[in-house]
Amino acid sequence: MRRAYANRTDLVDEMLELAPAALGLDADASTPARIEAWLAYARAAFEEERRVRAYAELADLEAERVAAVRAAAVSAAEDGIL
Amino acid sequence: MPRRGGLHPLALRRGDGTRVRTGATHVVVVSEDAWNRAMSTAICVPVYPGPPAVALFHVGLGDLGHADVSRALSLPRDALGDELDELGRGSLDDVARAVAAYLDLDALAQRRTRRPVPTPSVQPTARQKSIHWADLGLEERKRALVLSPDERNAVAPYVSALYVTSRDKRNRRAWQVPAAGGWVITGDLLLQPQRALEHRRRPTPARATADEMAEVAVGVRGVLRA
Repeated sequence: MRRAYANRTDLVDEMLELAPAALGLDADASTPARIEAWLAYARAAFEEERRVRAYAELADLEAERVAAVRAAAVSAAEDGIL
Repeated sequence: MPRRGGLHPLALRRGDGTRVRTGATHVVVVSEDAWNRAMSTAICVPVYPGPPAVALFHVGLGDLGHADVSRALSLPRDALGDELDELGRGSLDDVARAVAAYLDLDALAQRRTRRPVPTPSVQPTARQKSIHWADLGLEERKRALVLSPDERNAVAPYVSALYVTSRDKRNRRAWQVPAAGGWVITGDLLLQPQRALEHRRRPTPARATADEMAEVAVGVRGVLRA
């Protein structure tokens, strides 16, 4: 988590600017409540980013396989069997 | 991301982005969601307009038309348009089980021996368990392991085969079976015209063993959830 913050200061800055309403809080929410909500938001954001990045890496790893699957389907369609 | 049971319009494109004409208007996704999420492709059954014509291989889907399980194939994710509808549980199970039955997966999983049927044509036809080089129009030929039963291979202009690769990759360990001199990817079902398979020169090994096919069949059944 700490390493992720270090690598993504832009994302951290952006999240620090979030209005309480964006975190689901009232404008007069206490500081501890704001920090808690912000941390929950940050964890979810980093988890989502990690997931998206992981799937992007997978897509890259599987590019050759996907090209073969596409070519086989195209060949079937061009032969009139799809 | 496609979901198992989703009905999608079919919009297949070549590698250069040009659209390919298909007889099927829609497809139903039958592969499990774990595969669909991780592997960028999905096993689909093409749907054609009108009521089922050949009851043996066609599953009626009411107003949607009919699914032809003998033409089940893997498609890249971008060949599927936005999901239009979701098949009911009963219809989805019917389609997935019919694909498994067509591919003879139970017999293969139980290592039941089937004698090859005589070929009525003078043209060479691919046999179940045989491994061929497939010319897919890519830079290199790919290995394909024939899965469809010989009763069908002898008469149909196409076979159902699985993609065989030499690369062992950690991210797809759940779906690759060591067999056929490489790794058989159990969710990569290729619908191949017979003419695309090389018959004279075959890879080594040229045939999968009964034990290997049993593992492969169990793997494919797992992806189909059938």
